[in-house]
Amino acid sequence: MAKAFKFVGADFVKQVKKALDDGTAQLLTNTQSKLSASSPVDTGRLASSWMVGHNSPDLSVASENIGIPAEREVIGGKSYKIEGTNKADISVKEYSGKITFDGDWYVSNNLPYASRAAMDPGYVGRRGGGSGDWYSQIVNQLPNDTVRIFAREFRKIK
Amino acid sequence: MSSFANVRAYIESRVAAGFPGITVVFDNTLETPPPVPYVICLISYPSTTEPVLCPNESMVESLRGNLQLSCYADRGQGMKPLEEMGAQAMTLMNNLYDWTNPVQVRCGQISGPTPVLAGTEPYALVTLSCPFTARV
Repeated sequence: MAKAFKFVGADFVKQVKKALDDGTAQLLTNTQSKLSASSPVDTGRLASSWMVGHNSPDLSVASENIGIPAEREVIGGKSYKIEGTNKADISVKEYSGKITFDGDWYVSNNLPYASRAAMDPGYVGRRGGGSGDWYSQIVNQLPNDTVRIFAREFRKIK
Repeated sequence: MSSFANVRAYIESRVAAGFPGITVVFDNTLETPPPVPYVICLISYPSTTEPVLCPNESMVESLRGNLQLSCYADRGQGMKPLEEMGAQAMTLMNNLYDWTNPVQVRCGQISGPTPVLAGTEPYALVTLSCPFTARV
């Protein structure tokens, strides 16, 4: 026997709006967290400077005085940090308002060396410094993340 | 049956052939970069499997990976060598698919070439990257 189905338009629209809002919030938070967790770390300033902005990028950066930079050694004219001599202090700044589907959203980092850290595998270093393609991995994965997160939210609609 | 080694071998051999006369550095090879110009080729698998039938299982049909090519040249010598290598990299990514090869590597949307010219390093670079799928 067929189950009775009652469609209430207003309730459906409300659930779709909630799914869109929750999906946007998850996507932004997820991306900000992944960028912070994957950033090369010395003092933690780069990892702490990924910000979420609404309708324009948030140009603020973490304080210059966080963490202790590593001691460095020069080999073949190139400077390498001595692992374990630094003290990182990483804190991700959460977006203070409510994240909704409306408007344009930005995840940005306004430190002057952010673009080199993201695009130059040599900056990360090839001596145990981590993955040189950390940034492109996250950016190229964004379409898949978007589909996965929004599909999960839309499946909650009853 | 494809494997990580087959996929890597296919991509790396195509990249090496795509930059004649230019040193290409691959994952886990040289620690100290060679003299410029050179290219760094990085292959990784941030999200390996693709759920095709059931959203809660890893129904493996194709591998998903990430390919990044960073092209290095002397700083302060103009953009010509960087843009030429960038164009070579882009052509290579566009033509990576070969239906006769069992690994069937296909590249997605290409990001870049993004120039990195700031900083104090004695080199400049452009970086291109794209997601790719390969057949399992």
